[in-house]
Amino acid sequence: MRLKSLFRYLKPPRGFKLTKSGKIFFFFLFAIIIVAMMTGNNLLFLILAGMLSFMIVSGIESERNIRYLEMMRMLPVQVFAKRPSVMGYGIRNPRNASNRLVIEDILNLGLGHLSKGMTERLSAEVIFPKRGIVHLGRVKVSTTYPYGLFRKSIDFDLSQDILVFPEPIACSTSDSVGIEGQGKGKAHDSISHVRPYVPGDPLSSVVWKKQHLGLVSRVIEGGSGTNGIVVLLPGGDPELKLSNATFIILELYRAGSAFGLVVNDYFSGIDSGRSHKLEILGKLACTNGITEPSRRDFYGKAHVIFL
Amino acid sequence: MAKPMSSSFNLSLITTGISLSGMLCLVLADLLAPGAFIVIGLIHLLVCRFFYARIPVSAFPVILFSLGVVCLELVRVYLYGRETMLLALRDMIVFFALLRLVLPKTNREIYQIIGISLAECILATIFTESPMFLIGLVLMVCLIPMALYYLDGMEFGQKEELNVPGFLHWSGVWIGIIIVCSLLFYILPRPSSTIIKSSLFTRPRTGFSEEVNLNKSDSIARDDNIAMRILFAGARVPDTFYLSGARLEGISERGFIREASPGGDMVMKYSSDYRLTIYPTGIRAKNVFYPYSLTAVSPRRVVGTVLISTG
Repeated sequence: MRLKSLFRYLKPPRGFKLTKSGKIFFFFLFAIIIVAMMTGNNLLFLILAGMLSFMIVSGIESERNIRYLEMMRMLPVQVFAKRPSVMGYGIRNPRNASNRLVIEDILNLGLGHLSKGMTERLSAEVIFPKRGIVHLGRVKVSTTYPYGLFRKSIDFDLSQDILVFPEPIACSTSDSVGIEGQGKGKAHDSISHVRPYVPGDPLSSVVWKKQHLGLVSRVIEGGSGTNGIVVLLPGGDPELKLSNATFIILELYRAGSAFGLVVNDYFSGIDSGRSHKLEILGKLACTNGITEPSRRDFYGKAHVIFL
Repeated sequence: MAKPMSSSFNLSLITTGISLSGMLCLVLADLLAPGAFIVIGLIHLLVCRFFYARIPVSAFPVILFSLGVVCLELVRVYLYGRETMLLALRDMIVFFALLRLVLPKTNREIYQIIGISLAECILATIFTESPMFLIGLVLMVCLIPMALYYLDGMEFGQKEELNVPGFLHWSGVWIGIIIVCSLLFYILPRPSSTIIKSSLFTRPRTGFSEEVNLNKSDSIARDDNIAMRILFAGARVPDTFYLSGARLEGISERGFIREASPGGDMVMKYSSDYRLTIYPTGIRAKNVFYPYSLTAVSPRRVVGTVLISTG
């Protein structure tokens, strides 16, 4: 631990990496140092001093460019695996104008010019391949300004965790029962409602709008109706089940129905609110393996969707 | 309101300026004739006007032509001896500089032009004797940062005419470079400086030194490097002779001092018509070395090259 803190203490405040042109510049510099030391030619020492002073001036300019920068990261509320999510960044320099900044996080974002005191907002589409908790580390802002000889960077400690929900995969709720188990799970001909198309919807459910451009998807009412408790049963592909459950939860939320989740020994309760939805999606994101559910006593009071 | 010049135009102007500055360095070092410089200058003007024009020449004939020029220069060195090596080197650098300038250019080629110009400047430093050479050097110092600024901006993908710094910015940069350069020029240790010579890893050596440290009592390493060559031109080589070093006869609060001895600095027993040539040129010969006196010494032998060791 002490070693770690010592390492942190000794770490230089700025990152420094030579670019390709910088490497060539340093090659020239070392060649001149060698020749100057061998010959003692004063003019070569003058050129050497000129090159070194150029490096110093370049360092001062680049330091001025990234000093006093303020950085923030804006996370989306909902992030689904394998679906594009928009990650936002805010950057500001209260004292100087900055040029040619590159924000290095999950993706690299370039910013040509940042006016003094103005907050610039940038966004990038990112795709997380897996569900679960993803740790987002430090954000680095680098610049090759002014002469492109080296890339100087500054780190911002914006470490935080983001919960990536499972990828919603469309499914029908055929294996569902209604109150008292009256649903047969065959009622595929009645449409509950329509909603805007989202990637992943089955093609059979996609319809064209008549008056406006764009696609909408039909939501088919299953045997249990449009509200209910999603129960995850063991067997089959657990990832697919989690993805299907995510899809159904989202559908129920969009339809304004009350919904709940039962997985392993967890029961979410029944509600239709946004925080309830996020709690359930969070549980789905963090579930490892599906076992036999511990509670079954609510089946007589609510619609149940078995997956 | 005047429309600002575009970045690409600025870059073409600056790049040809850098190339011309490299040539100017060669001219100021007497490595290039003024007439040739005028012709080269006209070519530069033409290139500046049509900087991004794509000359329809494929790579193969260009490579063949370049190889031909190199071979010609090698033949020239072979036929006329090593004395022409420098001229051959100059010709090849100028040839490649012009070739690079004339052929189609991207950012990569512009970097190469800057590198070639810097090489010309370095070559010129070795042979220049005139302080006018500083004109070429200052031009390079002013133009290279500007070119690199534009190149970096273009590689970043910045749009043209965006955030181009004004004269105030550049004058600040130039003054900064010149001030820091002047400081560094005096701070940088030379090969003869005490910082290098008296470092932890060096031992006192026999030979010549500008430094005298009487407090140092290390063992002395023998230095077999040739310290001096004495040439006797057109006269009989003496059998032997002595050299007298600097004499500090007096002492004061400031240390040892030189006192004028009665009857002059040196005692010449015989009049002499020897001309003494001493290398290297950095040593002040009139104060340091004199043929002191000639005496008969045995065994008799001819002295052509004398190796001198001083403690």
